[in-house]
Amino acid sequence: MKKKYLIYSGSAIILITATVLLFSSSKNISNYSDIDTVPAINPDYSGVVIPPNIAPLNFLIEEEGKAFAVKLHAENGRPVKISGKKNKIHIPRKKWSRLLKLNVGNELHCEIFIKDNSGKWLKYSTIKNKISNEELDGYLAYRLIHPGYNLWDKMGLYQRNLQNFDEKPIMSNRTTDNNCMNCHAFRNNDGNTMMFHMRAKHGGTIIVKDGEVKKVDTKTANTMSAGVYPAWHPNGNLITFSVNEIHQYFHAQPEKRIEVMDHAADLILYDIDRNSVSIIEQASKPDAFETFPAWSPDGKYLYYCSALARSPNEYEEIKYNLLRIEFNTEDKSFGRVDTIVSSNETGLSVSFPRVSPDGRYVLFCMSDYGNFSIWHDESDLYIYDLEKEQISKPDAINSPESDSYHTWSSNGKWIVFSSRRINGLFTRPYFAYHYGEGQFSKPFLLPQKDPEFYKTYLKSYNVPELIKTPVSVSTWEFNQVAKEDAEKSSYEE
Amino acid sequence: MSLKKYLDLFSTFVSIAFFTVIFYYFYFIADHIIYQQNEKVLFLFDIEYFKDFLLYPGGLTEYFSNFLAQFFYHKWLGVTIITALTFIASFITRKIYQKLSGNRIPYLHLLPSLLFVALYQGQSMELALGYILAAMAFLAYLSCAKKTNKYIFVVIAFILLYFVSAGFSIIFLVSSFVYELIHIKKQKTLLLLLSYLALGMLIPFISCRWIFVISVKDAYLYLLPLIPAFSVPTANIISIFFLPLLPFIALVKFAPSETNKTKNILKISLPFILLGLLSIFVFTKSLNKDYKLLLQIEKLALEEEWTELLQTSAQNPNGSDIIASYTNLALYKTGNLPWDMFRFIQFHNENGLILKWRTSSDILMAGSNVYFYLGLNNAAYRWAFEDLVVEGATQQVLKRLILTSMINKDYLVAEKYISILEKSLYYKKWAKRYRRMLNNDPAVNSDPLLGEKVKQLAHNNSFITVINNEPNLKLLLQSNPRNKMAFEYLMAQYLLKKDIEGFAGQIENIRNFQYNKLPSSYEEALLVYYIFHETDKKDLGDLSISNNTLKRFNAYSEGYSKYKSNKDMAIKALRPEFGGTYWYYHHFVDRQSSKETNSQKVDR
Repeated sequence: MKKKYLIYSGSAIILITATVLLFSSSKNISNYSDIDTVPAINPDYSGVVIPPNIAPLNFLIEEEGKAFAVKLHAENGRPVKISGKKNKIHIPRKKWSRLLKLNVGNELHCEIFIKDNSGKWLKYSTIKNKISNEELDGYLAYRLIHPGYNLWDKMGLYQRNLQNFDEKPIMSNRTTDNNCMNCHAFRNNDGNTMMFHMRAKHGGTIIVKDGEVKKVDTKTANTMSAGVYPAWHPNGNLITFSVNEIHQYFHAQPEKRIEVMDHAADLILYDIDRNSVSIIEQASKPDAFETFPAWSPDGKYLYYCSALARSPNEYEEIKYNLLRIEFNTEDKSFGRVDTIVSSNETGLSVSFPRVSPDGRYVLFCMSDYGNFSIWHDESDLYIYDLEKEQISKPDAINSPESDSYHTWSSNGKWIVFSSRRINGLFTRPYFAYHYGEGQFSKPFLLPQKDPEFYKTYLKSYNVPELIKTPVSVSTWEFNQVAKEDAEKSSYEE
Repeated sequence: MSLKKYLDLFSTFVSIAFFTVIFYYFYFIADHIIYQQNEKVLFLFDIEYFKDFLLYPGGLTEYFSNFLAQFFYHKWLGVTIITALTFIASFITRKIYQKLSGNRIPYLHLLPSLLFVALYQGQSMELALGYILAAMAFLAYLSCAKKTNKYIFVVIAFILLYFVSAGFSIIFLVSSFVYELIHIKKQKTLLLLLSYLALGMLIPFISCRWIFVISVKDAYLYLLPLIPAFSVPTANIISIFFLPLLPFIALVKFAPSETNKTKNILKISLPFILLGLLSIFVFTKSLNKDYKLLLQIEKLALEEEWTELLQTSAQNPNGSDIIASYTNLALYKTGNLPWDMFRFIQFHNENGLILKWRTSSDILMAGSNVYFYLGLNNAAYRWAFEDLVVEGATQQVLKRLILTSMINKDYLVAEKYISILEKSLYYKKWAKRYRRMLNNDPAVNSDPLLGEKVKQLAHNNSFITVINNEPNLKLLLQSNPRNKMAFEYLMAQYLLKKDIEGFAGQIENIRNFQYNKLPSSYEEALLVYYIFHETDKKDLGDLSISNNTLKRFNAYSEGYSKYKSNKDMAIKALRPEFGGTYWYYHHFVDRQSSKETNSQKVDR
């Protein structure tokens, strides 16, 4: 009898507690005063377009208050309510996903209530975001590395599931004697056709194609270096690399930190099946630096950056043009070279061209000089409309700090790009919706489970690449291949 | 009192004395270990910081070790923690030994503590913590009454221990295996025992194959002391095998006899003597004096105890380039660089003034310090950031990054580092002080330290040179011609390179500074210059070469002419009187000079 009584009373306590908790986490606030101010939230997720498959945009309310409540609602479905004494807003993932899926194409409203010191609730102006009709590719691949100078320690390539907060290593140097790894690249946003380089110990290029993983050494006696900046040809068997002699300089003045520049650079074509390398003669002139290759989606054009070769003392005069060279997919020959964007006309220097999946736009960076735009505060993103032959600067996505490396989503409706807008040093990935005609929405920061995450995180998100499917090769498999000797590439005239 | 009771009492006394010696050793002799732990480890009260330690087996032991290390901020507390850990290790070892055998070898349980003392040099507390965890698990295993309980316990304990302390779990498993092997009675048990080994092979493999991103080596051996200890090279091996060997050692019968007195004397005194000898060996041999000196000098530089630093350096003249660099910095800070620099043996030449870049973490903060004082702010930031990348965020590095970012008015970046330091126990107050100055240029400019550095900033559009610092120093003087340190370092650099022309080319800039008289090393170098450039008299304003220096130069020249055909004779004759002069350095100290030639402190 006593035991039964204990069970009943215990259950009742649990039930009451659960009800109280449930009630407190979905508080209805009926008595409040309106304030005609948009509340400060961090990250700034206001006035943005978001994909229907993004993880909850958790944020901090940066306003004073004793208690906080948030109501997320849209035309369809039940609102999501969060409240508590802390200004950290964690949105329940399942409720968030449901709300987004039910409201594709609609507006998402975020109402923020703050209880002031006198105990009164204040309702701030509603934050309105748009849920797009088009999804974002499911994963983001990037390298996590300190924004450092010469030395490195722990680093790795990671993939983040964009629908939640799961981040998994693709490869980590913890298993490869702390070597360096960089320049991960994918064919057409495909996580299963990819490559990356390893430097120092276990050096070589790891290539994943048709489920096979191999390690090659693309340095030949006829080329100045192993392949550096890559671009997969859409056919999946060719990769264009730049070969560079890269040097790093350190500025003395407080406003600048690092200058990375080429002392020499050419382009090569690498044939995966034949494991052979050939120099692209038309894009490897002795009096020019050619770098940052990018293929058009049909594989008929190779875009790249080229500047007149100059000595390091004249580094501020090194300005890259955006060029394009014809490619015959049948016999793999290159043809005529065209100048798409001339630095003489813009007065600026181009880097990182990327062609949209529909082949109509080229998105690239421009800075005052040089090619390593991440260390240039003035670097901004520009878009070239190949149909209209017009260049424009989408102000919505640019900031006073460096806006740099970028990728198109596979459907061409989204871009991700590197930006140092938060503090000018630590690179973070931002997403923006492409309305078409070279117009973009206000970008939003990659959401994290803890909205304060970026505040103390000391690594940069380097080379963000959108992929449709995750990289299926495990770190173990990569590790096995990484420790093998690299297969030497042959040189073909 | 019975013999046993008497022995127990004596043993207790020896143990107390033993741990008192450990306390004394770390407090008074190896106190650099306490400093090192405090400087090189920064514990943060932050969930993201904690999460990083969950990414690999052994992370939790490291996390707890770092947690304890934060208390090394107080020397007495750090020493107490080390002593307590060594005491706990020996206490659990004693308990295990009691379980294994009634006839214990006295003081054997103190051996692990002694090994930790040897291994503590430059390492942190993970070793002691790992051992304690493995020993506790083994003790619990021995305490399981039922066989079935033992088997269940070994599986659960091993998996848990593996996650918490990685390689130490293998020590636990092997110890349990060895114990069972010794006491095996049935054939059937052998199979069960082999399953112990299988477990030890399997769990780490599963761990590196499917769960964690770690190498195979780390999966099995992480945290185990694989690097030999300084001067006691086998200490690490013994510390790994001690626990698994304990069940064997316990087989040795060691009970004092009530009848045979001679045997008893031997049995009582021998272990005591052995412990004493071993302790003397470990306490004297395991002290890495070079490392201690380096940390001592680094500590004095951080505390800006320049006079004491110079005294310490003078007593140890054969230091590394890092010590030479700190010594020259101390000479500058005490206003003695152009007077006394050659009283210290400068066999690292200009590399002992400003450290030459190399990919070695030990030079990074030392290099950053010199650049910071010089006012080459971007270089000070860069070297500190390189240290952050390699060694992780320490309080010293974060403080430097905060200060250099504030000087550059790079407040958003400074705020990030401040936010991190605010999560520490002992440095948050310091961080909060600088948070108040964020985005407040007047506050930064009026701060005694930051304001001075702001004035020294180089605004020229130039690159910092990596190999040769001459352009960097000239750049600083260009931006701020009254940067006295840059001037004295530039002159010192010329002298150390024996570049008399370069020196003479800059000497007239001495008029920009308030010198009462011409510094002796400049007088000496000018006299050398005038030998070759008689007509090129330098305009030094009110300053001139003193008669005393002229007299001394004549005396030196005479001596040098007399012995110049025999270098050894010349050194012998000239060093006592002229060893601290530029002339002596110019003739007898070169880049290839051996330590032997220059191994003594030079006195005038």
